[in-house]
Amino acid sequence: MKKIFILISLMISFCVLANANSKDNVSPKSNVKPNNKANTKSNVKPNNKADTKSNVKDKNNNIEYSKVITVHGMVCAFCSNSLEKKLKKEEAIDQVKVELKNKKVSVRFKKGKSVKDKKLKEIITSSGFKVVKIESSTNSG
Amino acid sequence: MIKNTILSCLFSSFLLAFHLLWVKSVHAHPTSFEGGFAVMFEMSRREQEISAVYSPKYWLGTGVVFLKSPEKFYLITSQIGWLVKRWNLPEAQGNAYLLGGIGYGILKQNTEQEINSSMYRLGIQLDYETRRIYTFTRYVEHRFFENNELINDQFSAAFGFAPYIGEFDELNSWLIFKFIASDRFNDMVYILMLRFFYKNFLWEIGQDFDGNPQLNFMVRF
Repeated sequence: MKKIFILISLMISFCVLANANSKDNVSPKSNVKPNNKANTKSNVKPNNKADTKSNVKDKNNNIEYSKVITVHGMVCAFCSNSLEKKLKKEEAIDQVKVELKNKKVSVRFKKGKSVKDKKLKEIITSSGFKVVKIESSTNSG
Repeated sequence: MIKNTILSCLFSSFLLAFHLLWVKSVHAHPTSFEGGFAVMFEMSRREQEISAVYSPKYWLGTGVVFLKSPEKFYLITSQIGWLVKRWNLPEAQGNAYLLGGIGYGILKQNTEQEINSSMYRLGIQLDYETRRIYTFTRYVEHRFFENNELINDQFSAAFGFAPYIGEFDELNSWLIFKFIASDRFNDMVYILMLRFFYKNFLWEIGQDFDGNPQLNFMVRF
């Protein structure tokens, strides 16, 4: 009985991992679109969701600059907590919002400051997650 | 029965608080995020475990584990957790870890005889989770360097289900069924637990099928 239970558990685990692996391989790498030139206005891609949910205007109605990052592997709030913590350590970042449902991490920068996409990607990758896309947007009051 | 359970829970909480104060930080997940530190305490009928792990990289965890099973063995060992492969998917994450470490162990053969010697630990861990389900399996064994004698082996597997899908800043709750088996001690335990996590705290409260309490706690810094 014990051995059967053990075997079944192992089989289930390996099946789901194998399935996960195959899905991972199917994901086209071209989906990864780090926007290294996001700081220039021509590359700013307004994100409707970000505009409505993440880009909270500051009290002075100043121009806001934020980025919305699509992250894969972010399924557990406990594990994703590290992401928020690491991003908040960045001096230029004012606010971080993690949305597990939409697989998005929105960051709002302090006035006149920003963090390059490469750095954001590095922070998220070092937390153990996969960056799929980084979009930038501005809001002016 | 209920009174005993409540008393056991209170006693466990007291032990937990004591251990946390004593160790400052403990852990059980093989790795954390880069620069992360995790502390874990686990108490069941079979054994109690305290561990503290620091991750210099997200794929590497280094730490210390203290494991005891009264009247069977006591172990204190270093732990290296290596994340061999991680699958980051849109709706899921899967992980494969290898575990290792060296330390010192005491194996009680009977009430009068015991073996004290240096030992090593080896293990493998696989897990896969979505926002709705959680699966986990792990095999770890501890052996003396001398004669390669087995001190303790443990196979554990768990399946979890989230009755509702919690968001990032909400209290997340899971129903977890876990079983732990040991060939060395010819033992098997079935446990039903409730898992909660909020922010960087995770705690599990449950009972095995014999009515013994199970209490786990983990915090990440």
